[in-house]
Amino acid sequence: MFENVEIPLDELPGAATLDWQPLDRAYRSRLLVDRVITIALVVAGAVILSVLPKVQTAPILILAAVLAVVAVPILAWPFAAVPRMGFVVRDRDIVYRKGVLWRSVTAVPFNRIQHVETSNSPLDRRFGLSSLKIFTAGGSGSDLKIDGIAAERAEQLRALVLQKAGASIESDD
Amino acid sequence: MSPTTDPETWQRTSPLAALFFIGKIFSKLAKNFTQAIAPLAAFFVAFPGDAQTKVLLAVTGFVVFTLATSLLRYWFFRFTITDDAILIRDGVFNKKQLDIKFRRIQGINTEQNLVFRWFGLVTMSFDTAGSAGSEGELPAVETTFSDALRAKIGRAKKDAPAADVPHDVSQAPPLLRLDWRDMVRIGLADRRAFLFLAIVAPFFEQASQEFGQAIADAIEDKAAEVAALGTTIAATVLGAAVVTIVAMLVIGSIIAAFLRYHDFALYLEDGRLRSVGGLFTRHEAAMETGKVQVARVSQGLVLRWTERVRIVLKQASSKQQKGGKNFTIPAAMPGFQQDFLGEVFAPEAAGLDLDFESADFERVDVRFLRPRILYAGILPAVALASVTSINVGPSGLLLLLWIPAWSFVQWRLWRRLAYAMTGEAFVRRKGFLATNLDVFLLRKVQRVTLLQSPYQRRKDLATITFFLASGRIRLPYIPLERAETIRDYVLYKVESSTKSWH
Repeated sequence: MFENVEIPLDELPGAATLDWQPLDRAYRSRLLVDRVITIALVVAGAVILSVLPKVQTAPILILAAVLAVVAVPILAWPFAAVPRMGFVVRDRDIVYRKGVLWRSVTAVPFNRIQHVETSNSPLDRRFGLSSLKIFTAGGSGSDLKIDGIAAERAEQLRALVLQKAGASIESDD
Repeated sequence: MSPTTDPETWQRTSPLAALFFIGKIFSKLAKNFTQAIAPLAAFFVAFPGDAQTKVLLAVTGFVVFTLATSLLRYWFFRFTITDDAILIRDGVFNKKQLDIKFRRIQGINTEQNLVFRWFGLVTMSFDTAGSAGSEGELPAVETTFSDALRAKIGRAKKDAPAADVPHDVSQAPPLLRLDWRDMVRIGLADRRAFLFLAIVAPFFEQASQEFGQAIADAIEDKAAEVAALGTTIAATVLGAAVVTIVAMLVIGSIIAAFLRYHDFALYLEDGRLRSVGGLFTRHEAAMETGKVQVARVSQGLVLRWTERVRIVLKQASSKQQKGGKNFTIPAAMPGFQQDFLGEVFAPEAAGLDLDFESADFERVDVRFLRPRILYAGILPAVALASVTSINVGPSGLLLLLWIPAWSFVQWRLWRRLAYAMTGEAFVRRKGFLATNLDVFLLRKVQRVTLLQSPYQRRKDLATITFFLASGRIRLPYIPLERAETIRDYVLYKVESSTKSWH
């Protein structure tokens, strides 16, 4: 029997009012450590340069000033960015948001997921974090990557997403 | 179901496959030209003897090498067809076995050059989804075999046990045929000739001046009139050269169009698209309509002038094979897209109006223009103009002309940028000189992103991006609420879809 029910557009489940799951608190510290290390390396390089003989001090001073100015937003960034990131796993899709100035919300339906991957760097492991990567078909830009999820949670999520994706693949055929 | 590995069933193709392998060697050489030239150069430098002998030696060596490797490859090339796959063994020293499952095959293309046509042979190539580089080819098989295999793959994919699908090529009348006038149109519409003109034009004046000076120098007369006369002569000569080159490029494009599309015919049978065309080598392309991710209808300046449109159907592409396997209809009457895509996307294309100027199109918000004109137009032009006019003088202010020119371009882009949506499908129109329509079914979307810049956030606008398996489609500056409704509706269509997207 053919049916063609009218869809009440206003009653579609919206992704606008969602209960966003925040990222793990350790993620902010992890980002900070990452940035502190980078800045420390640059500072160390500058110090070594300035100690060397026959080097003019003016460029070094300019570099130091630039560094001091740039370091503030670099170090402050995780405090602004991490609370803005979050995700929601719904029955049929996973939604991820991020961005401080440019804000984006990406939704990936489970029945379009090709495969799921978790990964972590040594620094991630120190903080007990993992990244969850979700791949869809096609060479269209980067696939969805959610950083900064607690390691066990990421594994649970991976299993859940796989199960949901698998279920939708079965019902598709 | 188990693949038959019985040596009896492994067969060779026709010995003429060697021709195909020779072609492969040549195309490989053409692709790696610099690497190929290195050993040749080494040979010429390292060995004593006069040039003639060396050329003769090199040519003989090359011919022997090519013939030997091609024949060897033919000798070691075996294939067999099982119930659900094509197995190919290839390679003389580096053996490889290819296992192409029928259900992974997205499209079957056949090619027939003059010699093959004479002997009733074709080369079949199989597009497979995703995995790049594992594409298989069966060179020089008989046409009857290729038709049978094609039918077998079609049946296997449909899971219909031996449905008597009439597979005669000439059964259904073609949807479209192109004649020689269309070849001229296709050739003219090729952008390369005009691109050359666009690249050369800015240097024309300077080149003719320098050339003219060179003429004056050559006749060792420093008089200003001679230099001026030299410039005029040079301009004429250069102009003639440019015109000749452009004319040759245009003629080349037209010849290329004849080679590729001569006697082009398009068929749509049973959910399968097929096109045949080509002067010496007949190219046959096939695609299942279900595989189409995005259909692009485009009309550039030349096509508009000659009253034709071009249609490209895009398939899923992996990251490796960018721009992958598309199905191209190089020229069709305007309006053809309406009925044609109506059938390709049937029944989900109902209510879709694919006229370039359709009243269904809704433009994006006009504030689309503001950041573009401000950050890429006014600010850089004013900054550059002030810096230059301080250093060079008032002529630096000419740089301000960038603002109206750039604004005009952006305004044109904005006028074209529009979208229309039915319950099942989406169309985005865009273009500057050309007009492009990108058409896709909502259920084929892979994921959706909504993005807001700080400015868009203040104005309650958003950019929506649809990611499809063939690429992404962006639509900037639409009202946030509308973007959210579209997003939620598209997600609903995708998530409630029970049809396969590929």
